[in-house]
Amino acid sequence: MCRLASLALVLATIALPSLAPAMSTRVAPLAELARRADLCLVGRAVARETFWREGRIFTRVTVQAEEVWKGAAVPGQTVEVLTLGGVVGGLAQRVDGAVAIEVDERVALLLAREPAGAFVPLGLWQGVFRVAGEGPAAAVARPTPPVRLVGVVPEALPSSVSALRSAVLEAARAPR
Amino acid sequence: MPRADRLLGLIAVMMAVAEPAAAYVCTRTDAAGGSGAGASLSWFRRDVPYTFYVDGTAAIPGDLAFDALRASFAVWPKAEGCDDTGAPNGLTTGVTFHETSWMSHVDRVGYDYEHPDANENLLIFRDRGWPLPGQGDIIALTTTTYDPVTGQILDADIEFNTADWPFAVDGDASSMDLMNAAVHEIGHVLGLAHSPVKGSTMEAQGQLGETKKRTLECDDTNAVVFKYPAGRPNGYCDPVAACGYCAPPEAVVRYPLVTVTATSATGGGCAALPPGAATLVVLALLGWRRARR
Repeated sequence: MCRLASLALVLATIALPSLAPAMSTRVAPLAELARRADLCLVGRAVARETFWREGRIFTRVTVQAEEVWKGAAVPGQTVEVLTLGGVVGGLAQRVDGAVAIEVDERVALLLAREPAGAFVPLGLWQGVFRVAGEGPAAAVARPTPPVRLVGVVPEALPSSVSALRSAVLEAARAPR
Repeated sequence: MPRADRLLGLIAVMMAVAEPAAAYVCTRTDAAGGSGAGASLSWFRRDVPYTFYVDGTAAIPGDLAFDALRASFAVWPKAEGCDDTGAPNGLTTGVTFHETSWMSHVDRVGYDYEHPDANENLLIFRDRGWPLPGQGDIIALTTTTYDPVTGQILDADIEFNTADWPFAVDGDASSMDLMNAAVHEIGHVLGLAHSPVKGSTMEAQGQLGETKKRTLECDDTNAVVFKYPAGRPNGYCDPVAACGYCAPPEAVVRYPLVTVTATSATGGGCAALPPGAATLVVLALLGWRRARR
């Protein structure tokens, strides 16, 4: 099953190219995101809640780190990740490009720290990679925005956890 | 199995395996960017108000920024549908916008659920800093608040990140053209998601100095004409038509299965019934037939 899921993710990555410049959000190269990130990790979402903050609905996802590639966290530690949008009671809010992370989902994240101490994915969907399977060979893919762009040459993104780790580590070592 | 049921079943299978048309996409209640089968986000009124935050932007002198936004709102109501060849098909939209007689002094976007009547569809330039830490890549952002069951849009605000990005109204090649960005964002206000059609205004791509999205392409006009057709009363929608694009309360009562917020992702152009929604509709009809026996 895991193998099938991994294959599906890889195929999805090939079939649905990632974005070049998006209309309302700049699409940054992966290396730049990795350099800018305060925290890069792979982990599993263990809890999720939505809440209002000054008119906006946020979803707070608690992620338990399995590997930490960059930043001040250790494996086993939990970090709070805020994403825009969600449903609270009878109201919902959405922002195009924001990503929902489900409980039990395994994700690789490139995160920026916000002043209150929580983390946010860099560039909305760009800082989130869904992971299918376990171990370093597990497939990773960005949650593809719901568009199939024609004629866009996408950045070749890593397709496995180990390849993404290498890309992040290499970028993090490069001078700012 | 009676012949009619077999026929409906066959139609369901055919629709389920059909390739979704590459066309405009509606934002839906159950999956980001229109990939689900739930009700799509729609205003249940045809005249949508908007309010400017009082400060404007230092990047664009005088009232030129507000004028560009007014011009952007005027674009969508003029939409006329077109056929496969691009020729006008005579279909128009009934949606309109109007500017409120006041400007807002409250710079808070989102929704005040304690005072629903106090909400404004706000347009604001963020000169003094982008309020979302770590998200300086965002050029403009539309935040839409809606009923998660019916898809009724209750409020939609647009923020322009003038703190991190240069904006202009004269087509300057090194700036984001304000009207170019605003017409696209107003498409989100109307409940449209990014379109896979290259060159459309709701296409996800854009670049500095681009101005072609100041006007609409066929894909965009067909979207707004489909979602908000002229000659229909406020709140009009046909939930059995393509993709359950809207579902006012009376429709929820009449067609309860159509508003099921399925969790499985399916394809989703609104111009063609997407496979998941098609199957839901046909299965709903099958269930309805059985219930009547």
